[in-house]
Order: sequence, then C-alpha cells, then structure tokens
Amino acid sequence: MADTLAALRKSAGIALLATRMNFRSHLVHPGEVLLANIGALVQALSGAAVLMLALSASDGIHGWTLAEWAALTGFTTVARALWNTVFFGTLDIPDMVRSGELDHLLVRPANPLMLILFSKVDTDVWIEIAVGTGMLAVALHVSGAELSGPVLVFIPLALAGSALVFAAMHLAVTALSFWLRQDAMLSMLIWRLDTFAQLPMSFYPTWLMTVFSTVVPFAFVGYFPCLYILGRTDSPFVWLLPLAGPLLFLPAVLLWRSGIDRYSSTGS
Amino acid sequence: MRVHLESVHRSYRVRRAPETGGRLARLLRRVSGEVEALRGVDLRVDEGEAVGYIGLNGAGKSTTMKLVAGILTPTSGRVTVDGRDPHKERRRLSAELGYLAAQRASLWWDLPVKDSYELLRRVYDIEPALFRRRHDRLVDRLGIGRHLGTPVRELSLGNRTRAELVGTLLHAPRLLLLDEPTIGLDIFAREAICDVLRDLRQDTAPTLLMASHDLRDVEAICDRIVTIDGGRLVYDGKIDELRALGGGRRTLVIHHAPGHRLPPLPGPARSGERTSTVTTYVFAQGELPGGLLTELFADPQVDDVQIEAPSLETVIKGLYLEGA
Repeated sequence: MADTLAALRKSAGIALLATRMNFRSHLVHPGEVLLANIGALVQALSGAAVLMLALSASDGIHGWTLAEWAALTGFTTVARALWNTVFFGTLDIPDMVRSGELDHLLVRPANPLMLILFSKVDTDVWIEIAVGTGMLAVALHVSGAELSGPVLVFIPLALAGSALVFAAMHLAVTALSFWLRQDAMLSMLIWRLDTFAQLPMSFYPTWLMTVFSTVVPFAFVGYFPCLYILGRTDSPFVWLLPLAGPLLFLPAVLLWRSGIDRYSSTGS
Repeated sequence: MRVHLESVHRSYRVRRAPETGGRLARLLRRVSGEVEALRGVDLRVDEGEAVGYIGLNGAGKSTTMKLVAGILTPTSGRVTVDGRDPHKERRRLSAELGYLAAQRASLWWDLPVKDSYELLRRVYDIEPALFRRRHDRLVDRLGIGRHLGTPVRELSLGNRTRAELVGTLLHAPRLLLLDEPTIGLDIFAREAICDVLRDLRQDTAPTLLMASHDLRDVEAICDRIVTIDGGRLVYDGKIDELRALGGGRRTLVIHHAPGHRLPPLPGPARSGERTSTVTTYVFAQGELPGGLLTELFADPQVDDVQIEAPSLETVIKGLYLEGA
C-alpha cells in the first residue's frame, strides 16, 4: 500500500512537472503558438458562422435555439481543450507502435502511459479554452438558463468527466494500433469525428443517437451534461454523468495494457 | 549486471502486399510471413564486461538489445539479466538500465534539453545534489552546455546524440545497452562519446553491450567482440584474438621514387599491389629477412617503409565471407 502511494505521488509529480514544462515550451516559439491559435480561432468562428446562418433562418432546429447550441459547442470545446492539455500525446500512439518509438518509454522506471499522456500539450489549447469558456458564458446568459449553485458546481465536474470521455475514446482507438499496425490513421478518424459531439443528439437519426450513446459515446461529452446545465432536465441521475469519464477510461486503459503486452517493437 | 542468452530465437511476423494477382488484390490483400531475426544465439556477458556487438544491417543486433532490455520476448530460448527475466521485471530492471538507440530520440522532443534532464531526475528518483554533480560533469565532458536551453528537435544529430548520452548516463546505470551510438557522427562527437565511455568503464564499470558498425569505436571502448551474421553468432572472443584470425599476415609497403626498381625479396614473400611509387609485398609474420629493412632504409630512392597488420575490418569481412 505504501509502495503504491509512493508510486502515485511520484507519477503525479512527474505529470505536473511535465505539463508545466510543456506549457513553458510554448514560449520558446511564441510565433508558432500564436499562428496555431489564430488558425484555431478562424476554424471556430467559421464553424459558428455556418450554424448561426442555418439557425437564424428559423427559431431553432429540433427544438434547440441558437444560444443553446452555442452553449453546447462552448462546453464541448472546453472539454476537448482540457483533453488536449493532458491527453494529446495519445494521438501519437499508432505512430509510436509502428515505428518502434515506444521502446524508450518501456525502459523507464515509470508508467509508459503516464509518460505518453504528459509528453505534449496541443499548441492551440489556449484559444480553445478562451473561446469555449467565452461562448459558454455568453450563451448561458442569452439562453436565460438559471445558473443556480448546483449548476455552477456541476459544470466543472462535468467538464472533467467529459474530458475523460474524450480521452477514453481516443485511447481505446489508438490502442487498437497494437493489433492493426498499418492503421495509424485511426486516431485522425476519431479526431475528425469529434465534431459530432458539438451538435445536439436530437439532430441525428435514432440509430446514430444510439451509437453516440453507447459504442462511440459522444453524447456523454456535451449533450447529456448540457441538458442539465440548460435546464432541460432536472433528473438527479445527471449527477452520475461525470462518472462516465472514469468508467469509460478504465476499459480503455485495460485495452492499452493488453496491447502493450503484445507489443513487438521493430527489428531496428 | 550479468546478461545471459541461451539458444535464443526471435521471429517477426510481417505482412506485405502479394506479388501476384490483379492490381486491386495487391492493393487490398496482405500476405503474412515470418522473418527470423535471431537463430539460436548463446551469449554471456559478465558483470563489468564491455562487449562490442558487430554485425551488418539486419544481422540481429538491435533485436538482441531489445531482448536484453525487456522490450521484446524471445520466440524460444531464454534471456536473463542477473538471473531474472527482463521482460517480466522490466520496470525494476529499467531503474538500472541505460538504453540508447541513436536513431531514436528518447528525450522529450519539444522540451529544452535541461527540462528533459529534470524530468529524468524525477523519473529515476535521483537525489538533487547527486544529480547536479553527474549532470555538470557529463554536460562538461560532452560539451553540450551551450545547448541546454534548446528544444531537442532543434539539435543537430551530433549534439542530440551527445544530449541523449547524458540523459542515458544520469542515473548511473549498471547495464548499458548502446545501439549504434556513434552512427552518422563527425569525428569530434565520436571522440567525445568514446572518451566518456572509456572513463565510465574505469569509474563505475557498468556492464556494456555496444552494437556498432564502426570497429574503431569498439576497439576504443571494448575488450571483447561478438560478431553476428544472419541471426547467428560467428565470432565471440577478445579483439587481439580476432586480429590473430587474420593468420599473422603482414604487408610491407614501400614508398619510392617513380619507376625505381627494388631488390628482389627472398623467401616466401609474394608481390602485392603495385603503383609507380608504391610497391607492396605480403609475407607471414616473422618471416621478413632482418637485413632487408636495413637495405631499404639505406636506399636513397626509398622514401618510406611500413609494415601493416590486417585491419579488423578485413578480418571481419573474411568471417562474413566464410559464413556466406
């Protein structure tokens, strides 16, 4: 027990230090980081403009107003940025498996997954967090949602849980590369699919809603938590939603462990 | 630490496009096959020994290194480090292992070098004062002080390898596995690395297994050579003994004025390569007539006389050709 606690303390220390250093490394090339953030801002604004146009033509789509949709988008953007802050390195797993770069992590006296998780921070998380938080705050104000005490407590818990759902999905998909060595593009596929989480599930046909609530649980990333934040449900079960992250992350870690046991590196 | 490989075989499963069939089939279908990297390797490396591991590309050097590091498991046979299975006890072993594969970056790619070292200090739980002493000494010896604030990805190959070696040695490993540590480096970087490794052998004497193409490095650092070819060991012994495999053959190289006619060599010596200013004779060690050298040195038309032993490269090339 004492050994486990010491190992956890050591891992937490390394994780904190690595994250701090990764953020500090952004300052080595501020121009590069600035450009990446401008790019992310343009992408966010253009995406928002298209949906604003679509929604402004009517009072809303599938019962969602523009402000409610903006709150959902802001929420998922912040959750995704939190994932990018800690778990961004998992996107490199397929490449590491294929090229044998994983080797050097296996010869360190530390958990290799932890070393990957904290190996890098996406350069544009700054703008994603700023835009997402701003969008969420303005949209909640405009939508008239009641920001009660419980809702204010729920938002950060749900954000942490949603970041872990993103992490679980990406880790599970990238861990498949231990079996499907040629399919390094899997991580990019799920990366592109992330945008599905930014739309209300009622936009999708029933079968896709079912998929997004089970196999690929995008609904847990933003839709379900936002139902409560926007006052569309008062079910007490919503307080279980932040647990979806840890519950999904656990099997993803088990899949990773199973994959690493069969890792065969390369001959060179 | 002691390293022991007993009858080790290791195969890799590979999938490739079929060579026959239509275009679509070749695009979509994959055929599986096996490539045998090691075919019954027996190797024992004792505590504090330094072994140069020589082989051509694809001979099985890196596979052996990874088996010893616990990254891979053998298909059959047994690998132990201090009597334990390195794969099963990888985490415990890694605290005492230094593994450097020069073709791969092990430091954090986007971080400045000094930040990578600080992370390694935490990973290996090195006491700060001890870390500072080792860090300063290694950084000074390898001459990378100016680059400590530079992100790893921006370093030249030579500086990156020096930085990687510092990172590999900071925790004073008892087992050092170096996979081509000097490949592609200029003479200064190579010398710096060889100097540090030589000193390290004298100071802490870790067990060292160094895979290399470059025999100069192996000669500078190791006292034993193991040669692998096609997944099988073809030589295992002292460097001097390997040299003796050249058969004690010597070459007499005489530099002289253009077109100068030399006195005929007596005995079993035979003519070697010849140009208008250089004449060579090949003879068995100890069979050169004593008076001949005096005669050559007294000849005003002779500029220089050298006796050359066969290089290790020549001897090892001979081993590969024998194997083929």
